[in-house]
Amino acid sequence: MSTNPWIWVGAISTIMIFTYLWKENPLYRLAEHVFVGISVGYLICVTWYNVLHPKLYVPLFHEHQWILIVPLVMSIMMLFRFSSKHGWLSFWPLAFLIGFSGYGIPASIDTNMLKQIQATINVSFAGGIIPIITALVILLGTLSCLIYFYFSFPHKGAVGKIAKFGSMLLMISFGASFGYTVMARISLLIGRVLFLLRDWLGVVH
Amino acid sequence: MIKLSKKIFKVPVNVLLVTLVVTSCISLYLPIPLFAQESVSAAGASDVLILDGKDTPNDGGGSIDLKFEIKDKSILDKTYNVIIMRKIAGDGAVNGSTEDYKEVKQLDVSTKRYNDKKGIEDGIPYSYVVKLVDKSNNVLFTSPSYGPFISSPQWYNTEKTAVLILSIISIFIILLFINLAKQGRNLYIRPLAGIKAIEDAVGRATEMGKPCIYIPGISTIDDISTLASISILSKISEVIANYQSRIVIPNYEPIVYSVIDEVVKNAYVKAGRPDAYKQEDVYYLTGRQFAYASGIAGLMSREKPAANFFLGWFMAESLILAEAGAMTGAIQIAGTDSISQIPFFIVACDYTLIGEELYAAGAYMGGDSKLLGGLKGQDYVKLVLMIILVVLFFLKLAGVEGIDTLLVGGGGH
Repeated sequence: MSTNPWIWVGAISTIMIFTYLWKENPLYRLAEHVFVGISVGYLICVTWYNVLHPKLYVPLFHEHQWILIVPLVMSIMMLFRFSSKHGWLSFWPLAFLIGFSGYGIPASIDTNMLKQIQATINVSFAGGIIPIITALVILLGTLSCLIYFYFSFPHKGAVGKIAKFGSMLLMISFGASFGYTVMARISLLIGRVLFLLRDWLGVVH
Repeated sequence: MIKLSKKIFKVPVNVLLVTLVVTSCISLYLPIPLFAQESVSAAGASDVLILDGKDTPNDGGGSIDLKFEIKDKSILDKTYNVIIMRKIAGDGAVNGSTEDYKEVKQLDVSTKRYNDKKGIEDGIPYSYVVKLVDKSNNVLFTSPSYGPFISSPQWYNTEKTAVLILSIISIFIILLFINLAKQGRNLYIRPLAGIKAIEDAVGRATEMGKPCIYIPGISTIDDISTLASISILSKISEVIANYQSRIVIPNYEPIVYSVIDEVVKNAYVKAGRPDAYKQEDVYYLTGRQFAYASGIAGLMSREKPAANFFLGWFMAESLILAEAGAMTGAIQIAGTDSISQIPFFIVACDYTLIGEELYAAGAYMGGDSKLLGGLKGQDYVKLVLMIILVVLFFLKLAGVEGIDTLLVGGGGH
C-alpha cells in the first residue's frame, strides 16, 4: 500500500466520484464541489500566468505597447455587467466578440467546403475499373449525405430515398466512431483501476 | 429527344441558373492565370551547383525561397552538409569572396529547398553563397555569389482565389434569400423531428412541475454551434417564461455565460414576465471540462429535471452528461456539430439534431425572417457545392489537367 499522501488523496477522490454509480450521495457531492472549486481556482491562476501577465501586463506596462489599452478598456467594460445602472457598457465588448465571429467565414469556406470537395475529387482513377467504382461510391455517398442536410425539399420520393441512404451512411460512420471511442474510454477506466490496484493498494505489479 | 428536352425544362430554373453560374466560374478559373503574381526571381549556375531564388509567393514578406541542386556527382557523393550563407548585396567584399557572408543555415545534403526567413527585410537585395562540406566539416566546394533576391509582401494570395469566388457567391446567395424572406416570400423548410420535440419537452416539464436543464456546450462565443444554441435557447426561454416553468443553465465559458444571461433575461421580458427571471438559475460553473461534467451530473441527480437539452459544441464530456441525464429519466434532446460526439448523443438521448440540423433548428425556432432566409441561402450554397463537386469529378475523370489543386492551390497557377 502506498505511503504517498497524494496517492491517497487521488485514490479517495476517485472512489468518492465512483460512488455516483450507486446514487448521488454526500461523498460524491463533496468530491464534485471540491473538483469544481479547485478547477475554477486553477483557471484563475492559468488565466493570470498564461494570458493576463504575459500578454497584457508585461507588454503594456513594461514594453509600453499602448495599443493594448483597447482590450484592457474592453475587459473593464465587461465588468460593468454587475452594475444595474451601467450594465449596458458590457454590451459593447460582447457585440465586438460576437461580430468578430465573421472573421472565421473565409477560413470556414476554405477548410469546411473547398478542402473537403478537393479531397473527394482527389481520388486516383489509375488501375482499371475498380478505382473508378470506388471513386463513384465516394461521390454518391458524399452527395447523398449532403442531400440529407438539404432542408428546402421534403424527404419524399427520390429525394427521400437518397436522403435515407445518406443517413444510413452517416449511421455507419457514427457506429464506427462510437466503437472506437468506447474502446478509448475503456482504456481510461483500466488506467484508473490500475491506479487504485497498483499505485495505491499495491496488489498488482 | 423531345422527351429529354421536356425533362430538362422540368428542372427548376433556379437550379439551372446556379449550374450555369458555377460552370462559368470553373471555366473562367481553370485556364486563365488570374491575378498572376509578380515575383522577383534570379538564378545562378556553376558546373557544380545550381541555385535559384525568388521572393516567397503569397506571403506577408520577410521570406526568400531558395532551390538548389548539386550537379557534380563526385562532389555530391562526398558532401554531408550544405551551408547556406547570405549578405546584403553590394555590401563588403566583391563577388567571389565569402568573407562578408554570414551562415544562415546548415542543411542535410538531401535537402533541395530552403525557405530563408531569418532576419530577411523586405525591399533589400540579398546575395547567397552555398558551401558544400563533408562529414569532418571540410569545405569541398564554395559556390559563386547568387542573387540578388528581394523579398516583398503580397496584397493578394493567389492560392485563395477559389475562397474569394465562393465567398462572394455564398454571400450573394444568402443575402438574396434574406431579402426574399424579408419581403414576406414563403420559404419552405422541411420540419425536423427534434424541433417539435423541444417544444413538447418544455410542455412536459411544465406539467410535471420540474425544471429543464440547458447545456450550451463548451465552446466559445464565436463558434457557430454556440450561436445556434443561443438562438434556440432564446426561443425555449420564451416558452418557459410563458408556461411559468423553470430553466437551469450552468455555463462553461464566461463570455457565453454573459450573452446567455442577457438572452434569457430578454426572453422573459419579451414574454411579459421579467419578474419570473431567476438570475441564480443562469450561472457560471467552471471552465474545466470534467469538473463541468461532474457538476452537471450532480445537478441532474439533485434537481431531477423533466427535460435536458444539450445543444452546442461538446467533447469527451458528452457521454457523461447524456448518461447522467438518462439515469434521471428526463426526456433528452441533443444537438451538436461535433462529429465525434454525435454517436453518444444518438445512443443516450431521445432526439438528436445532427450537425447542420442544429443551425437549422436555430433558424427554424427563432422564426426570424433573416435567419430563415439565411438557412434557405445556405441550402442553395450547398447546391452550388454539389454541382462543383460533380462537375470537377467528371472533369477529372475526363483527364483535364489542374483539377487536383484547383480549389486549394489557386488552380495550379
